[in-house]
Amino acid sequence: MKRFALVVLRSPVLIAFVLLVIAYTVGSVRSPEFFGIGYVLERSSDLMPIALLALAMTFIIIAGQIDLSVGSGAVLVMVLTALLHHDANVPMSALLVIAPLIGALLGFANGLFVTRLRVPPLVVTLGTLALYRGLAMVMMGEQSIGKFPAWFVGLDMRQIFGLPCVPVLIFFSFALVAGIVLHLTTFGRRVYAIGTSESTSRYAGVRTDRIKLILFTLAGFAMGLAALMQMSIITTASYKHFNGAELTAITAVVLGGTSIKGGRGSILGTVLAILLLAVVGTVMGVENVRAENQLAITGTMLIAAVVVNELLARLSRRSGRTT
Amino acid sequence: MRLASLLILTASAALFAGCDQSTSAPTPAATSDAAKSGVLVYIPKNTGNPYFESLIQGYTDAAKENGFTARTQAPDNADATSQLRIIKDQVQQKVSAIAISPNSTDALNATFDESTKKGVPIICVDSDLTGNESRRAVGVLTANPQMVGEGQIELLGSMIGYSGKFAILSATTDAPNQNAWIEVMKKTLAENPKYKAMELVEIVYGNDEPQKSITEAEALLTKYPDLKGIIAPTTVGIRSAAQVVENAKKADTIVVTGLGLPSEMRSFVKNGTVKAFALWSPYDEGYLAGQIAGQIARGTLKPAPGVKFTAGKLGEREFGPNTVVITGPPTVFNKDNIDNFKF
Amino acid sequence: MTVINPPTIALQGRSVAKSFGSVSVLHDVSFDIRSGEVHTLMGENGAGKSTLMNILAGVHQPDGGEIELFGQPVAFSSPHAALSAGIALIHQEPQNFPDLSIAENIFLGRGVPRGAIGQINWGEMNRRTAAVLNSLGVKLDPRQRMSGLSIADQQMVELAGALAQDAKILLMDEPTAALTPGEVERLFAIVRNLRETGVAVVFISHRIPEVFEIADRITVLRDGNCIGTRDVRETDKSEIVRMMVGRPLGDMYEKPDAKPGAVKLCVSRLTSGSRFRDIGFEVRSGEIVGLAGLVGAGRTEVAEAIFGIRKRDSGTIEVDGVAMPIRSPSNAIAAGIAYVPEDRARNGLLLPMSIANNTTLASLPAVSTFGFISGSRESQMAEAWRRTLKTRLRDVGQPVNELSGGNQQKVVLARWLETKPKVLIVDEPTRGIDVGAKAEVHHVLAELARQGTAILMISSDLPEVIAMSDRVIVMKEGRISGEFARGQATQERVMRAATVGDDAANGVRPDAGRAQRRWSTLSASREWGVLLFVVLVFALLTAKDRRFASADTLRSILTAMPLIVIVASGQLLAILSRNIDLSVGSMLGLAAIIAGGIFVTHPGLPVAVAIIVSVFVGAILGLINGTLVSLLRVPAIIATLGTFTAYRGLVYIWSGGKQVAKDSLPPALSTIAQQGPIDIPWFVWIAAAVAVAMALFLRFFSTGRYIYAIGSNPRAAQLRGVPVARTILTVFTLGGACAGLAGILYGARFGTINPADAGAKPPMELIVISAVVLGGAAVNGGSGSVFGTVLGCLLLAMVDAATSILSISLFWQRVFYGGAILLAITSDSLLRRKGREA
Repeated sequence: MKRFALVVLRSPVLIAFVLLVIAYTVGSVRSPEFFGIGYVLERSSDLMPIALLALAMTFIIIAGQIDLSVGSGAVLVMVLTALLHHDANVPMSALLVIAPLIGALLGFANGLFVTRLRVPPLVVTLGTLALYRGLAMVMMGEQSIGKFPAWFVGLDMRQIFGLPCVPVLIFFSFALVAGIVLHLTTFGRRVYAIGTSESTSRYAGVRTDRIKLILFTLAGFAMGLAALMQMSIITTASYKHFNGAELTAITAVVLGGTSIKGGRGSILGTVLAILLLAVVGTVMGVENVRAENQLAITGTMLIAAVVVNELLARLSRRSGRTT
Repeated sequence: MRLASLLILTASAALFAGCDQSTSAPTPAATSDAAKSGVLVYIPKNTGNPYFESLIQGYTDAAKENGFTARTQAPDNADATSQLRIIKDQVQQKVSAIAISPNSTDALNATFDESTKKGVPIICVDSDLTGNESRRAVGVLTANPQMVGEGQIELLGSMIGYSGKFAILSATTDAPNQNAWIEVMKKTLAENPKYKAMELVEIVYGNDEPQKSITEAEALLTKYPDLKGIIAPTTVGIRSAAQVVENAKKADTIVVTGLGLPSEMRSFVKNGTVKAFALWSPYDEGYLAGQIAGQIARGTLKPAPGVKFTAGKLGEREFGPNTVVITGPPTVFNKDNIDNFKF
Repeated sequence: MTVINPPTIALQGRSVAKSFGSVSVLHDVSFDIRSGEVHTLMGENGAGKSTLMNILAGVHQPDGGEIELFGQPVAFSSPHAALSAGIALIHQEPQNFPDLSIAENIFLGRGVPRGAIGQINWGEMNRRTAAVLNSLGVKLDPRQRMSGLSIADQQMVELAGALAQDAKILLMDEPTAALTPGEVERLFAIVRNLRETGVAVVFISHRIPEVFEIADRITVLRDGNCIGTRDVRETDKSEIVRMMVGRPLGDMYEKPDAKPGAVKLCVSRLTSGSRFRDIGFEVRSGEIVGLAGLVGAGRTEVAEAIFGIRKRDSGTIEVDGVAMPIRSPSNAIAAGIAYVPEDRARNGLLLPMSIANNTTLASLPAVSTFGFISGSRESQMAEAWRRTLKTRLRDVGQPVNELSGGNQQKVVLARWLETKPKVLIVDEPTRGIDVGAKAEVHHVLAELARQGTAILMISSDLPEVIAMSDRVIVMKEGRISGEFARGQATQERVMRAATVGDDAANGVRPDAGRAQRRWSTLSASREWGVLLFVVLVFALLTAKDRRFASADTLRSILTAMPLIVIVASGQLLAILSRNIDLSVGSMLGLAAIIAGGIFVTHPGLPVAVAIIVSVFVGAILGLINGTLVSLLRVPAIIATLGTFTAYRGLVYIWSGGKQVAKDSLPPALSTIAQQGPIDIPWFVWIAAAVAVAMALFLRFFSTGRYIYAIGSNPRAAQLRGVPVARTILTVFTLGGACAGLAGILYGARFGTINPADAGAKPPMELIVISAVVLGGAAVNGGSGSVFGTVLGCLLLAMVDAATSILSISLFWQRVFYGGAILLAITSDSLLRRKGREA
């Protein structure tokens, strides 16, 4: 039993899982409204655009980088897409392809700053965080653009197997792809290598700058996807969406056991953490916890996740040394 | 590690499936307190907005009069996504009706439809789903744009002798309410000969940010040395404009008016910086919404254009086109009456 | 210089021993050092000289033996403790604070002269610095910034630092390695002076001629043993060389003779800045070429240039007779070159990752199909290399950091052998590994050569070089100084070529000093650049619209600044110390709502109480941030991103979502933002006072200087004994206090404190970070000033006013902030790069 407890404590993914089980059980016992999977899925839909951002963020953080601009970038893509559709009459089907490409361009710009100027990604993306949302505001103003084709909107209302789970399924599909890429491919291996030691990777012929550039571009691609999904769910576009999305995405990644210092982490962890956030959010929602308390809880969860992770890493390093 | 991951995956699948089965059977004992006493929910645009505090009070009082409990659930920032989650959670708890001040005219449509389908009527308060009115049951609005726009011009005109330059300090370039009022103001100026000596020199926008609103107001004073008045139809705007005029000691040459909260404007009115400004009663607005929500939930009111009903102490009201109900004309606050208002 | 009394023994060591992990570096070293002598430590690289010095200076602690200082047994726990006892170590690579002045580099953390209220007495400090520098005969301005100095001058400053501490024993690790002949002369003159005053000078040098010029006695170390101490008057150069190299070759594996084949690698006229010049050689198939020389001779740099890690200015690299345009390691690998780096832990291994992962890193395509790694093929590959190289390990999935040094080196070797290189460069292949593993590595190299690989072996281990190489090339100071065929290469000859050489003047000497100085003065005066920019923007705007220069507009700009200036002053501290604080806006909001809320419950309260409460609340919140960052080691960005959210949540919880309206706030509070002396509101004066106080704090208090020191060079700060954790706590607490003060002033200025607006609309953290970065503070800490930050705030306020005067959409504001940050970091980065390249 003690051994089991030790194993759980050593593996941050398991912590996320145990927390998920606890949250789910507490939710089920306390609230009859918390009706199992159906409602959780429905309620989780609007977290899924951010969940897509969290997948990209997992890669970025494992590689020892950070991207604070994901939320602003997504909003800029959303605004551009809506304007293209509304003002330039670009068909929505074409925009399904164009939007992720616009996002990729924004991410590519982040990547260029980071790799060419050798400025910490934190400051670069703090700058683009302001810039991207600012541009979205300038282009869109206060208006909101709706009137998208019927086939495009209402992703969260469609049912498969009698459950409103399309966004969640999309997230799972991308998570599967992300998991495969991160854990099974040479690219993923190089991402871990860069996060573990950028210097060693460079000496081993890994093109570190190129991989970082690809990662930021991928994050941009995710911004595009997130923007599309958000537009479909909310049926409209304005500059006000994705407020603080970067924070939620980073929280999910860190909660899932990925080390903020890079080199350690997994997609499974991020997926579990997203589910955890969804379940906790649902429990708090149906329990009528006030929004402000939810805010305090989210912030505290982020800090606690980092502290616990680092303490665990220190613990396992210490015990690793003695053996 | 890989084994552990596999285990977790299987276990999570089992857990979700298991829970679903065990709870999908109806459990009559576990009906929520919401269903027992009947809850009327109100969702403001965001928390921390004093305007809605007063509105909530009115809503709560009306709900009580109809035998319901009132509950407020506010999002932390004024975006539609946060409201969407709250609506879903409240519908899930089978509340009796939802009143909401929507943060978007179109983003919540699908959720509203879903809610109506599940038997929870939606009442829009303070701002409406312009162009999408069919998605909600009733729109409870403050005053129509015509009333507000004309009222503001008349209020300013009466204080500057219907002649001279004035400017408008608004929130943002695309705020729908603001723009509707400003349109009416422009039209009134152009069409009513009474105001032909009044010249609207510029419309500036302070984004409802305190600092930016102050900077804009200060710039107005610099740009137009012969400015006679400022209309700020937004609470942050009017208090900022008043502050600027007070600091510049120009209260006797520049008239500030607009829409404001008594609690923010009292000192300006008392020291003479501002002579008069307007606002409708958010309490009445909330009370009206609470009455309608309660009566619909009890099944005693079927809203449709032309239908008349009694709204408690507000007396008889009538649904207009698009089932909109108007609260009433704005109140004008001045030195004599401002102490009667606490919000 | 006649010594009548028997010499005083200043420092004596008996049987000093030290091991790192399983590797024993010092076995049984005994020595004595006398006051008033110059004592040279000599020996091959790896003989243990630096380790011995580090033990004497308290950097390392000995495992055995004892050390006596003037007859008293001592044990130093830190360099700081050793320095207090009078032992100073001057590193080869100076450990200093490039952003601080010479005087500070001498005194910081070591008893700064103070004035009446504990403030730094700059006059006294500069005077004392000047005196010390004078006594050394060095002409430097104590106020000059360290980053502008040449290596020689930096060394002088370190020396001065030691003397200012009244050091009785001076340890110098290869002080002449980076100096020009003229500078060496100057140094020696100083050393002679010091000897006269009774200081014991111990230094390491490889240059035999200069040792004989300056030293009184020479102690030779070899393989961690003390070979002997000689009086210079009783010995000669050949005896010293014999003592250094006298290691028997007997137990060394020797590469069988081979007939070299075709030329595999041909390097010609390779030059890279100040590191090496005009290097040309070739390596043939089946041949091992040893590249010998001292540390710092440029051998590793040559290898890195061939492998594409280091930029080369000119020269060609040919593999199999074809010129290869190598610009990155991946180019080099494609060309058939492999490089086993010297620093295994840093550049060779992914320490927490598995042996299999480490093995396949450079040849992932070989174990994957369509980019998918096959776990089984990966293990098979690692397994195969385990057998071939006889690596001792439990299983290939084991983390590589659980292996011993020798086995780790085999993993790195395996990675490179798997790429089937035509040319293999190994850099110190057997450093830090035990004897058995050493022989195995030698065996592997010989076998590879037999199979036709061309091998370039960099090694400081002379017997290894002699035994393994078909040819030995010797480098000295960035040039090739000798080449010996097998059989002609003896340890003496190689050592002589690496140390004695008579062409010292031709060597490549670091000459970066001057150009670098120019760039660093430029980057030091960035504030003036910002000022110029501010004036320019002002002139442009005035030209566009005359009203911009009106008194009203200036007043509007002035009153828009106080809140930002106060919060930005706090942010400046965080950025100076290489941190960041994203939670300032939320702290401002929380302090404002708590302090403002007091008036709701206690209407009659004096304004002063609210101010104190607000500042106090901010300080507490800042302290929480500081605790997370400094004690719990949460990166500042994450910690403050978390508190940014949590504090905003608290704002709502505390206020219950209700704003504190103007009604509830006393008129006296608003007065602060309306009236004041010479018709300038009080809160402008308050902000000015905060800015001045902050500037004084940063200038005149140790903690302020520590903030710069930590941002400038965190490692050096730790070594110096700067209280890093306490300083970081102070940084965040002061940042919080500033945000708190701004909180109550927010109430004064705007009359209404709204929980959703205060500090968040517009986002305070973005504004102040923009202001600080625009004001010329370096993103990576260490440099920046309150003056610059205030200018940054002024610039933002001006642009803000301009958009109002010129009626530009306010949405551009956000674009401007983002653009400003990106612009500032771009210029910062370009400036830094220029400085580095020059």
